[in-house]
Parts: sequence; structure tokens; C-alpha cells
Amino acid sequence: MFCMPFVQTTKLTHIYFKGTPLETVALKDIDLEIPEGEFFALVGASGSGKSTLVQHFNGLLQPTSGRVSVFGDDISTRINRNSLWSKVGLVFQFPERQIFSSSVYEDIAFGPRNLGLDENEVKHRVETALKDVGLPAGILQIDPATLSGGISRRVAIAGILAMQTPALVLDEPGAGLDPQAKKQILLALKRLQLEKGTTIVLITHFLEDVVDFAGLVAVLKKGELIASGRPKQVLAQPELLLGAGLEPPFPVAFTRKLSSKGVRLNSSPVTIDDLARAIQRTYQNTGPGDR
Amino acid sequence: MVNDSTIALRNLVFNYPGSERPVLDGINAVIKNGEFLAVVGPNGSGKSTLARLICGLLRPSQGQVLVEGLCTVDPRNRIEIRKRVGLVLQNPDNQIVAVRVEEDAAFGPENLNLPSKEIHYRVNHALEQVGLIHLKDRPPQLLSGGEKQRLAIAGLLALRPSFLVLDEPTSMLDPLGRRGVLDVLRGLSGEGMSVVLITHNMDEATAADRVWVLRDGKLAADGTPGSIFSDPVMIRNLELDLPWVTRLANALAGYGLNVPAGIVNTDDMVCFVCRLFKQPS
Repeated sequence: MFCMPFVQTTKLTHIYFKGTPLETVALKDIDLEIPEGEFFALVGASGSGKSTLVQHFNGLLQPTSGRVSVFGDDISTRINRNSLWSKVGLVFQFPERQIFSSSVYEDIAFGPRNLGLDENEVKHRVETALKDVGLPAGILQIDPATLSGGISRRVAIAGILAMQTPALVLDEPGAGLDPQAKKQILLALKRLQLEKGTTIVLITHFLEDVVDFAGLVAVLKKGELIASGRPKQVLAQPELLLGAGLEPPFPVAFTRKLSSKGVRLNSSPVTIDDLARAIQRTYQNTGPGDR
Repeated sequence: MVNDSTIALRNLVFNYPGSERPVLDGINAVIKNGEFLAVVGPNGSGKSTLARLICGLLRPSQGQVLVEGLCTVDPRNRIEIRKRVGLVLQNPDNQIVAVRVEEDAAFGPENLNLPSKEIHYRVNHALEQVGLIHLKDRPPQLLSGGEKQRLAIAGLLALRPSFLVLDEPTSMLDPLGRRGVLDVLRGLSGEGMSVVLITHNMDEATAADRVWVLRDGKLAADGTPGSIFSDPVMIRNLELDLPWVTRLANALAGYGLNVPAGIVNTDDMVCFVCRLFKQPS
């Protein structure tokens, strides 16, 4: 079946402060396609252009040169750009800092109310969004200022989910949270992708999360796209990742350490289970008989 | 008799005002001079409260904290305790005060009214220890998160404390920033500095000499990383995450390769696998 991509960029270049002494090339000739319904991870070191790139996906930024189309519409037209905010939800880093209402309900309801929906529909959407992020309905009347970091983060994300946009872009939603809270958020996103077909674009520094959750991954380095494809292929290349300022997933780093000590595995494992299997297979193949 | 170079926690109880349940409930333990201690435990187990009690920011509801023999409750000891125990917080942006890296690290010793030659010497040495000496003229807001945390550590080192307490210093950093901070802590520990690292990251905890597991305000376990993370029953009961190496050991056991208990850090595991391939079985 042919699917229209969520995002397609052609030779996308973005230059900040063009023509001034502060001129900075943030993105250079990016050709990228993100299929609809995909869980897509965008990785790269700090300052590699990840946040600049995703701000083109909902029309907050326009390319200096090149083309970006979102759901088939070119974002260089103002009308197309204005329609994007109801199609693409963007969750910035530390979104809980943008909570401003005095109750959880009011905060989540802010977006859908601005869509002009009637209060019944707003209430329905608030409840659904809260369930999607795995929080109990009892929390709705609480003052968000009293919630813990992980829970207020999920409330802030629920505020975007309540817009029910067909695509969601999240900039490091797990930053600063403990591992369990981060995992709960990623599981909630995965559920949205699988159950509702929502396209998810996840910016992250943590490549283990990419292995566990994403179907496709793209690597940015100093504004250039240096690799994209299936996580098991892209993330199995430690030199590429280290060159991009990223920490390879544990199994990849471990395999590299082994090979530096002269032990070569006969595959390039990216998950713990694959690593254990590769060690066992290599052990069998070079078993006592061979020595 | 209290050993003078330790932090001693004696029957330590802490209640936040207005709360019925104590956050810390009867902790008895000693942090030795020169040791690298990691404190782990689920949210709400009292880790951050413990960090603040150790450096005298909070005072115990019952019991005592003795920093090198000085009781944190006595207001006369407070300045002396501040000099001996330094605290680094989670958010790197919240602890920078000056407009240049060098001046930021000098803030503490300047307030001690030290001669400027001494300040200069201490600051340079501290910035070298955390690997920021080449950035000493940079404005701190242009540093990465990891560099800011290392700057915060340098600011404390310039005070020459006996103990360095860090409350989740890496949780807001990217993986390379984390590694940089952890390498600095390992280096300092190697030079004999006492480090208390509060963390959610079990892989960081495996770098320590000793691990405390807090749960519901009690010290639920106290031992080497090897003894704690190799004990599957304890891990399950305490609802801890597993370090990567322990996950690998479990997966290997599933393929019939048994890893000896006590191997919890990467270097030991690499050695084990290398031996496995080289030895006749």
C-alpha cells in the first residue's frame, strides 16, 4: 500500500543569522523521508541540529533553502504552515515548565478548547489523553505544581496528546527523569503508534531507547545527515556513532572492547540478547576442539 | 569514639514538617574517608534528603549526623561543615554564579578571604582536575551541561573539602556528558577524595567502591557493587534496575554460559569473556 510520508525534505538547509557575523549553518542539504505511522528516532550530539530540524515539521521554522513538505503540503506557503499546528504536536524539552493552569484538567484542556471543541468533547479528550500517558483520573483536580517530575512531565505531554494530532514530535521527553518514569513515557508513545497509528518522531541521546522503540533512525552530525535506516544496522557501527559524538549502545560498545582484546564475534549485536547469543555461538564455533 | 575522618549517621530520622511518615527512618552507618560511595533507591526513598542531611543543609528530626566529629545541629559548626562537605545538585544551570569559568570556580575561596595567590593556585588546580583549564576564560553559559557540572565540581574542589556529595549530577546530561562527569569522579576518588554519588543509574553505581540501597527511608542494603548487583533476590525485592553487565550475565546464563557472581562492571566482564575464549573448557 502506498503511504504518503509524514515528512519529506529535499536539500533542506537552515542558516541562523544569515548575513551577520553570527551566521551559523544549522542544517545542510538534508534529504529525509519519515513514513506515516512510523516510530522515528532522531539522534545526534548536542548542537547537531536535531531541534532545528524538527521545528520545520510543524512550521515553526522555514528552510533557508530547499524544500520541506509535511503530509504532502509544502510548508513554504503560509496557509499550509498555519494548518500544521493542528496536525503536528510538538513537545519541547522540559515541557512541564510550560504548565500554567491551576489544575491538571484545565492544563490538558487548554489545547482542545482552542480547537473550538464543545466542553463534552474537551472532557472526553482530556480523559483519553490522561489514560494514554498512564495516569489515573483522580489526578485531574490536583494542582500541577504539587506533582513529582515524572508525573508533571506526563501531564504536559497529555496536553499535547489531547490535540489528537496525527503526528507527534518529542524533544528528549525522558531528560532528567528516573529510568522507570522515562520508560513509562516511551511505552505510552509506542502504544499510541501501535493502537492509533500516530506518527512518532523522537529526539533522544539514548541509543538503547532507539533499539527498543524505534523502527527507523537518522543520525545528525554538525547539521548533516550522516546515516539513516533500521536501528539494528545504523547503531551497530560504533565508529560512526562515536564520530557523531554519541555513546554507542552497551552491546555495541562491549563488542568493540572485545575485538580490541582480540576476541571477534561473528555478528554485530545491538541488543543484550543478541550479544549473549553471539558470544555463545562464537564460543561454540571456536570450541575446545579447535584449540 | 568517633573516628575523626568519617561522616557518621547515628539513628538518623528525618520528617518534613507537616508529614507523618519519616523520609529517613533510623539510619545507622558510617561513610569512610577516601571511599567512593553510591547511594541508589527508588523515587521517594530519601536519597536527596540524605544528601542534604550529610552536608548540614537539613537538620535531623532525631539522631545525629557527625561530619568529622562535628554535629550538624550545632550552629557553631555550620561554617566548618560547609568547608568540609561540598554538594553538587542535579541541574547544572542552578549553580553557576559568575561570568567567566575561572571566576565561577573562584567564588568559594574568595569568600573564605584567602590571599589571591592561593585562590589562583587552587582554582587552576581544580580546573585541571575536572579538565576545564582550557576553557577558563569562557562564559559558563556557553558550556555544555556536562562541562557545567564539572565546573560546579571544580568550584567545590577549590574549597578543598573532605567529602564531595553529588545529588544525581548526571541525570540531566547527555551520555557523553555523563561519562565525562563520571570519569572526573573516578579520577578524584583515585586521588583519595571521598565521593558520595546519589544516582538512579545502576551502571554509575557499579563504578563505586560501595553501594547503599535506600528503601522507604531505611538502609536496605550496604555492600560492594559486586555483592549487591549479583544477588537476584535482592535486586527483585528492592525493585532496582539492573546494570548492563548484570543483564548480559543473565542473558548468558540463558544460553548456558554461567558468569561468576561479582562481575558487575564492563572491564571485568570483558576479561571474563576473553578468558572464556582462550581457556580450554
